[in-house]
Amino acid sequence: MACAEFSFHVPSLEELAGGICGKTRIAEVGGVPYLLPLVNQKKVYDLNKIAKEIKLPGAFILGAGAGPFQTLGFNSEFMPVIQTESEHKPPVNGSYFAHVNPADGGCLLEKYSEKCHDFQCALLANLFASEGQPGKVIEVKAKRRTGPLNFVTCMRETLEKHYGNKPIGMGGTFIIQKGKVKSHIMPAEFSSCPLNSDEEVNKWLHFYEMKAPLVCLPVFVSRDPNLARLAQRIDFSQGSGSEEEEAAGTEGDAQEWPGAGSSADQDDEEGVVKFQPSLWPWDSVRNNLRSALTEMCVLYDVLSIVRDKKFMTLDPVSQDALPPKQNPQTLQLISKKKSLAGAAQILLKGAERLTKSVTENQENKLQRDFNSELLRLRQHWKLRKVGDKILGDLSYRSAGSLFPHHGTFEVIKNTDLDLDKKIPEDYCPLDVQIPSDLEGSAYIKVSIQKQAPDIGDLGTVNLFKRPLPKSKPGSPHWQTKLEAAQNVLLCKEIFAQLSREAVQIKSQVPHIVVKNQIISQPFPSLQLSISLCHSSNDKKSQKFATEKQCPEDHLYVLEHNLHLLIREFHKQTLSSIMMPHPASAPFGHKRMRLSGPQAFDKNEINSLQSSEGLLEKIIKQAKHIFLRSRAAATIDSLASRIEDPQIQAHWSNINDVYESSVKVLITSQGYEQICKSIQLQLNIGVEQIRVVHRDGRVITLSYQEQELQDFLLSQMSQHQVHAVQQLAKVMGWQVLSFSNHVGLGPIESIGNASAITVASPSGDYAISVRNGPESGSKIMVQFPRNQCKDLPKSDVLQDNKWSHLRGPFKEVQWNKMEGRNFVYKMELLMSALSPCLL
Amino acid sequence: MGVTCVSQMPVAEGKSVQQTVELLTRKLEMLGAEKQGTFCVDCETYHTAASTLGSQGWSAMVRSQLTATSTSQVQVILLPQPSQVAGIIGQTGKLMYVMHNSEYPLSCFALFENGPCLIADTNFDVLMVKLKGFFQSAKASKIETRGTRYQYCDFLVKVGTVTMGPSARGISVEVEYGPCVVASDCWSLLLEFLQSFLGSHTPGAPAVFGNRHDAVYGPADTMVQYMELFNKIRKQQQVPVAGIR
Repeated sequence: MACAEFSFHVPSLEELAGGICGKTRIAEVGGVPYLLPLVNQKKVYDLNKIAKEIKLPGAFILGAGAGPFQTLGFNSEFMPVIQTESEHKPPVNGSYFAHVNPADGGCLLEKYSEKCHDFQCALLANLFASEGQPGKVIEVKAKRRTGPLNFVTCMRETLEKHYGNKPIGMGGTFIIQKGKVKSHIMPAEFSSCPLNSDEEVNKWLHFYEMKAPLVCLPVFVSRDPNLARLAQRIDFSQGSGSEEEEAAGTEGDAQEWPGAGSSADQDDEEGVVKFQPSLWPWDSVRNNLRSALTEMCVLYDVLSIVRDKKFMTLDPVSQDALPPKQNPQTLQLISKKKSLAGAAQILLKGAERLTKSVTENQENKLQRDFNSELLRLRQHWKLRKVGDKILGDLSYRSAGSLFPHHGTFEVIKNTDLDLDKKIPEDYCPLDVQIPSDLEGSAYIKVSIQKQAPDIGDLGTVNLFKRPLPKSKPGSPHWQTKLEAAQNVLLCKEIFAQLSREAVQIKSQVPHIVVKNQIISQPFPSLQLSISLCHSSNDKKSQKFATEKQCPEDHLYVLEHNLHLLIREFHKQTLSSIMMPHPASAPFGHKRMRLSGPQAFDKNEINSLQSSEGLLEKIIKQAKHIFLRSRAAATIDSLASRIEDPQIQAHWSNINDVYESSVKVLITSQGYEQICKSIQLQLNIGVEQIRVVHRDGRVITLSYQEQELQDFLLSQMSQHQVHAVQQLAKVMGWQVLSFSNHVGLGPIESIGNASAITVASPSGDYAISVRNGPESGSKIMVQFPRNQCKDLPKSDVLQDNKWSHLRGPFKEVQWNKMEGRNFVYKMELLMSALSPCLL
Repeated sequence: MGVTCVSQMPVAEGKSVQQTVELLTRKLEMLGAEKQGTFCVDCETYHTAASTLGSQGWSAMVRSQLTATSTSQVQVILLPQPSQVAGIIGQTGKLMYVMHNSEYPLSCFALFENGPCLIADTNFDVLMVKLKGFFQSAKASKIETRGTRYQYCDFLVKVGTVTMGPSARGISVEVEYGPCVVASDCWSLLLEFLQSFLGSHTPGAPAVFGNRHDAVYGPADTMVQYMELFNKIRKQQQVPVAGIR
C-alpha cells in the first residue's frame, strides 16, 4: 500500500544539510482514493501543520506527493524538500514539482519556491520526516535489475521478509547513476470522468523516459500495519466483512507510524533474508475459509446421499407418540396449554416486575430526601416560592374563609442532624415552621351549666379535642404539625366569628364576651359558655390538660355541628362572591335570582334572606339539646318513680338539629293490647315542646320541665280510667258514665280527675272509679239492696221487687286488693262481681 | 301562598270612599283581624304601537330587538317561558298591562286581557323603556290600589283604595286563604268568610276560578283578577262619583 514516487532532479547541497537522522517519522498523508477515480479537491494540506501533527515541529521533510493544485492552479507531481517552521528557524522550502509542459507536452521540472511561497501540498503525500541531524544511515547499492519488481518493491519485500509482522518504514534518497527510467507525470488537468481501471489511469497519465542521473526520494513501509488488524476483523461467523476492510483502508488523513528508524541512501542488497510464513496476515482468513469449505463439502455429501436414497432415507420422527385419532383434541389441548403457559409466563414476569417496583418504592420511602418530601407536601398543601423561601398556606381562605389571619408557614430544610450518630427513625429532612400563634393544640369548649344543681352539668363539650395529636403511622411529621396548626386556625376563626356576633346581636340577656369565653343565657338560670382553649405544647399545659380531662360527656353533635356551620358559612361567602350569575340579577343565591320570575311572595323571600349567625344557630342547637335532654330526664324519672301505669318512650334516631321527636306510650303491664288509649308524640323544638295527642289535639308546652311532668301525670291518671273503660268492653260490662274531667269532688292541683261508672252485665253491681293525678284512685262498688245487710228498711221501698235495685256505694280498700297493678285488680273485681252464668 | 279572591266593594250610600274603607276596616278589626302593614298593586297600560309591519314580521323585529337590547337582561326575563314572550309579542292591537304587587316585591307582571301572563324580574320595566317603539305607555293610565293588610287566622285581607291619578275611584277587597292552593276546594269557605264582613256585597266566584278545575292557583291568577277589577273601575269612570263629594 505504501507506494513510492520517483523524483528526478539534481539535489542541491543545502537540501541534505545536516543529515536525515533524529526522531525519524514516516507520514502518509491522504491517499490514492482522493485522486481516483475522481479527484476530491477538498483534500489540501499544509506541511508545517503536518510537522506539528506528527509531533515534530521544525522537522526536515523529504518525500513524494501530488503538487498543490490550489496554489499552482494545475496538477503536478511534487517532491517536497522542506525545513518546516520551528521556534528557532524560519521554514525553508526547497521542493520541486514536475508537470507537463503546456507548450510542447514535455516534462518540466521546476523549483517550487520560484513559483509560490507557501508550504502546501495536496491529495496524497508519502513523507519522511526527521530532525535533520547527521547520523547513521543505511547504504544500498544495486547494479542491475534481475526481475519484474522495481527497486523500491524489492527493498520493501526484503524488509518485510526480515521483520515479518513488524512494520518497518524507510525513507531517504537514491541516485540512479546510469541508464534510463520510464516514469509518469500527472497531467495538469484532473480527469473529469471517473477512472475505474488501471488502463484508464495509464491512459490519463503521461509517461516519459528519463535519463540518469536522477535523484529519487522514496518513502515506503515494509507492510501496512493495519493489514493484520484488518484481516482479523474479517468475521466469518457473520457473513461478509469485506466492505469493512475496504473502508478501513481509506481511513486516516495523516497517519503516523513511529519506529521507522533508518534511512537508506544508496545501492546494493545487504540484509539477511528470513522468511516467516507463519506470520502471514491472511492466515486466519485462510483457515476460516478452509474450514468453511470442509463443512460445505460435508453438507453437500450428506445432501447428495439423502437425495439419491440409495444409502439412506429420512423419515419424520414423531416425538409425541400419540394415536392419531385423538389428534384434533390433543392438539387443541396442547395448543391451549401452550398459550396458557405463554400467558402465565407473561403474568409471572409482570408480577415479578411489580414486586420489584414495590420493593423499590418501599426502599425509596425509607430513604426520604428533601425533594421527595417536598413533593409529598405539595400534594396536600398550597406552596409558593418567595425569594429563596418556600412558603405555604394553611388558611381556609380558598375555601371561602374571611378570617384575616394570613396562615402562612415556612418550609425549611432540616439540617441539624449529626451525621455520626444514628439517624432516628422519625427523622425527616423537611420541616415546617408555623406561626407561633398557631402552635400547640386548641379546641372549643361548649358547656351548658344550670345554676341550680338539680340536673347538674349537662356536659362539657370539647370540640376538636383529640387525646393528643398522635401521628398516624406512615404520615410524616410535618403533616400532623400542619393539621394541628390548621385546627388551631379554624378554632380561632370560629371563636372570632362567635364573639363578633355575640357583641352585635341584641338579645334580652346580653351575651358576655370575656377574654376567651362567651357566656349566654338561653333559658333563665341556664348558662351556655363557649370558650376557646388553646394550649401550647409545653409539658406543663399538657399535664394541666390531662388533669382537667375528667370523664366528660362528649356531645359530638355540637362539635360536629359547629364545624359544619363554619364550613357552610365559608361556602356561602364563596358562592356569593365567586359564582357566575347574570349581570342583571341580584347577588346571592340562585333561588334569590329566581324569586322574581317565579313570583315569590314576601314570606318566601324573607326565608331566603334570613341569615342567622353562627352564634344564634349554635345557641338554638344548644337550647334544643338542653330541652331534649331535660325532657328525656323528666320522662325517665317519671317512669322510674311510677310503676303503674308504665311509660314507654321511643326516641327517634334521626333528628333535625333543631327538632327531635319522641313517642310516649302509657300502658299497663299485661294489658298492652287492650289499653292503648294514650299515645303521645312529643316534638321537642328549640323553645317549646309540642305534644300531639292520638286524637289530634295539639298542646304546646314551654321549656319548663314541670309542665311536661304535670301533663304526663294527668295523662297517666286518665289512662287508668280509659283502661277501665276498655276492660269493661272486654268483660261485657256496661259503661254508665264516663268523664275525662270531673267537676265534682276535691280539686286537683294538677289537671282534673276523671271518672267512670260501669255496671255489671246483669246490672246488679256497679263500679265507680275516680282517678285523679294527685289524689289517686278511689273505687266504689254498688251492691244490690238485698245484699246490703245493714241497710235500714225504707218505708218507701216496701215491695220486694225494689230489693233488686242497687243500693248505696261502698268504697273498696284498693291497696288491700290482690293484683299487681290497677287494671289487674280491676279485672279481678269485675270478675268477682259478675257471677258465672254457666 | 294560597287562593285569592279580589272583589270590588261599592261605595256606601252617602259616604266617601275613605269613609267606606274605614267602615270596612273597623268591621275587620272587630272580627279580630290584626293589622299587618300595607300593600300596593299598581298597573300601567301600554298600547302596542301602530306599525306598518305585519304581525309576523313585527314579532320577529321585536325578538331581534330583544336580543339586541341587552342579552343579560333578556336572559332573566326569558326564564319563565320563552313561549310566553312570543305570545305577548304576537298580541297586536291589544292593550298590555304591566303590573306590580307589593306582595311579590321582586316580580313584575305583564298581561293581556284574556291573554298570556308573563311573570318577570323587576328589570322588565327597564326593558319596556327600551321597547318604546313597540309599546307606548298610555297617558295618565296609571291606576293603583293601596291599603292595609289584615291577618285573620289563615285569612289575609287587603282593603285598598283604588286611585287613578289624584282621585279615588273605588274600593278593592282581596281575601287570601293561605292553606289551600286549589281554588275550587276552598271557594265556599272563602265565600262564607267574605259574607261575614261584606254582607250583601259579597261577590260571585271570580272568573279565573272557573278556568281550570283543580288547577293550582298561582300569583298570576291574582294579577288577572286585579287587572279585571281595574278595567271595570276604569269603565265606571264615566259614571261620576260626584254624589260622594
